[in-house]
Amino acid sequence: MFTKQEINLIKELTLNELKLKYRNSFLGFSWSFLKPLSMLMILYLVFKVFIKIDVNNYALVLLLGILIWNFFAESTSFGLSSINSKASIVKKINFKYEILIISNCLTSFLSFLLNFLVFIIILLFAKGMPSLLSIYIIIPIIEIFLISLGLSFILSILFIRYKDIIHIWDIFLQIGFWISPIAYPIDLIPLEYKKAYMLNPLANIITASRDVILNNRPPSLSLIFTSLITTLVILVFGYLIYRYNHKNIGEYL
Amino acid sequence: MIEVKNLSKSFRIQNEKTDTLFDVIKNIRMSKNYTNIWALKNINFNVKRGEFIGIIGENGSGKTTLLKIIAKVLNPTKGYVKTEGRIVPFLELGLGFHDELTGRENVYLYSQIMGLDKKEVNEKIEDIIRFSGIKNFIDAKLNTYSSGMKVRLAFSTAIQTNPDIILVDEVLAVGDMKFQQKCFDIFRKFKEDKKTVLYVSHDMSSIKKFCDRVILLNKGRQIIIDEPEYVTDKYFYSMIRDNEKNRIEFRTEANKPDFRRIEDLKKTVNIRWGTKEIEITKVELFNKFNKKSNMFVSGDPLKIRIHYKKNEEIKNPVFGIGIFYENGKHCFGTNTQVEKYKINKINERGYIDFFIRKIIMWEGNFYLNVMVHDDKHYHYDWHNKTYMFKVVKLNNYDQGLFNLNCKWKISK
Repeated sequence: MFTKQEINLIKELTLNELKLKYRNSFLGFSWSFLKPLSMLMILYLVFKVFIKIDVNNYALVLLLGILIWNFFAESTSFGLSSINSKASIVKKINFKYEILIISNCLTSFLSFLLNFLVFIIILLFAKGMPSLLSIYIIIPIIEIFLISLGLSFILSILFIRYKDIIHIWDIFLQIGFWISPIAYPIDLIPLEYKKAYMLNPLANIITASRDVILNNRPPSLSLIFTSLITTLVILVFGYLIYRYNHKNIGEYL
Repeated sequence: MIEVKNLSKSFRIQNEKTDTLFDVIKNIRMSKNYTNIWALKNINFNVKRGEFIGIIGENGSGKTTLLKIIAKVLNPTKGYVKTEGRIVPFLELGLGFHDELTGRENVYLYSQIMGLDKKEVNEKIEDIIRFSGIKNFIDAKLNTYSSGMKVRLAFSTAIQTNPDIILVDEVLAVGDMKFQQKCFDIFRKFKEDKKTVLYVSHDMSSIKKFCDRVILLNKGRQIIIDEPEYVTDKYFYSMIRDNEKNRIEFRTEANKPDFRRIEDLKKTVNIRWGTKEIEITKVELFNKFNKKSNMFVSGDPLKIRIHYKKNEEIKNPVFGIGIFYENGKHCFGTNTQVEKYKINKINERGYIDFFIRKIIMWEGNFYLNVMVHDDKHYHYDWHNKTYMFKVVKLNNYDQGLFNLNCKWKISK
């Protein structure tokens, strides 16, 4: 699909974006961790102190959810404008524009991985050595990456054509935050709603990550299977929409 | 190498803007709320390997659209473009580099986007920097660059990517003289290396100097593709013809002067005086094709035709003209008496022609005096700075005000 040269370009673009993200700020990388941290604090205050939610290790449960959600929200909102923000190049040179989308998603992914590393360190201090089961975390992480990528394909194409997508997606993310199990565990969802609730692929992914890393539970095979299917559907569907429209990108920019 | 066949391109101009989903939903029941504009219509040409093709035309004639379609950034609406080999486009001013990155980082990104390997960029980066001439700023952020520097850097990068076909759009417009000279060296090298070049420019002298053939576009139509001399000539005269439609009205009716001294009068633009024994009824200017015009190309001939009407029987009238530069400086003046033409009798109505063999002025706007008087400077009719014409030059290298007939000789 990509030549070696193009893979290098993706690498270069990703690293450059990452460099830019951290170069201009005094605190550098810590900024990207301060955002989830502040979210953690306010949600902890509301749910644990005020509402007194009854969840073990609530801070860790919350933080893991926030990190995954933040990656999803950030990568898709940047992904949405990934082609549009490079309009000056895209309008003049023909190359595989998906390179821009992929490298955008990778940039967010790399900073997510850095954050995740911090999370692991916190986890080590709080709970000691995690079990071998934790290695399964790779599966939901890859899934969330591919879902974000698939959505970025769709959103970036739509954004070129329809400029209000950016607002629509904002609202969507706002709703998504509360219909995903971030501030609360999935067990709190009443049984009659659970089926509908699980249609949200993020519900699967966040639950599976918590299971393997915090609860030392092997992930349920059905969970992994269903989320794998949704992931692939979103990715393929997104890429097809992109392929179908990519020739017209120059026309609408 | 490049085959363009029946190529047409239309753009939809929205009457109601529909760049949001909301607009689309709002307008869903309205049929056809856009107009089609043909940016290019039925373009046909073939370019062989190693040919240097110029594309000229007024702004909005479709030059950049044509290059963009060849660069595959835009799709043709009808027809097709076939190309062989690697295309490197250099379109529009100031390439979209990343403003927050340094010049060097931008060169890496840009050349990799154009298909170079990182290793190749490593080899070429020094050449690129040297050619761009901004060595001292190469590690500064791009947003500190001037627009000229950005273009120079982008162009330097583009030409180092070893393309088979290079599309150049107006690179000379922002570069300084030194950079222009370097570009010309590169063009020469392209020609030696048998690269195929499509070159859009308004600089006719470089078009004439480098191009093997030139395409003239006008409002999206391909007027002609031929030898540079022929096409640039045609372009200029078509431009002048368009200009005629909205030319400055010749001002023949003026108020009667109330000045005592003729010398004062002569400083005034567009004024007329005289006793009208002979009246100048009309003044016309003709270009080298014997067409009426008020715009001329430097070096071409010019004919001034003065129509007159006789109101009284007059002996030995003298016709004269005067030419003034736009700042009012008197450049030239003569009359039939000075040049020893004796006019004994004139008809009731008629005209007299004045020929300029070669317009030696390079460019500018000129005022024209036309007058008829007797041999003792008794003014019958004097039109002071009443007519205007414009001279344009075909290249940017001629210095000064006018072109003297001259040559060099080197002693052996």
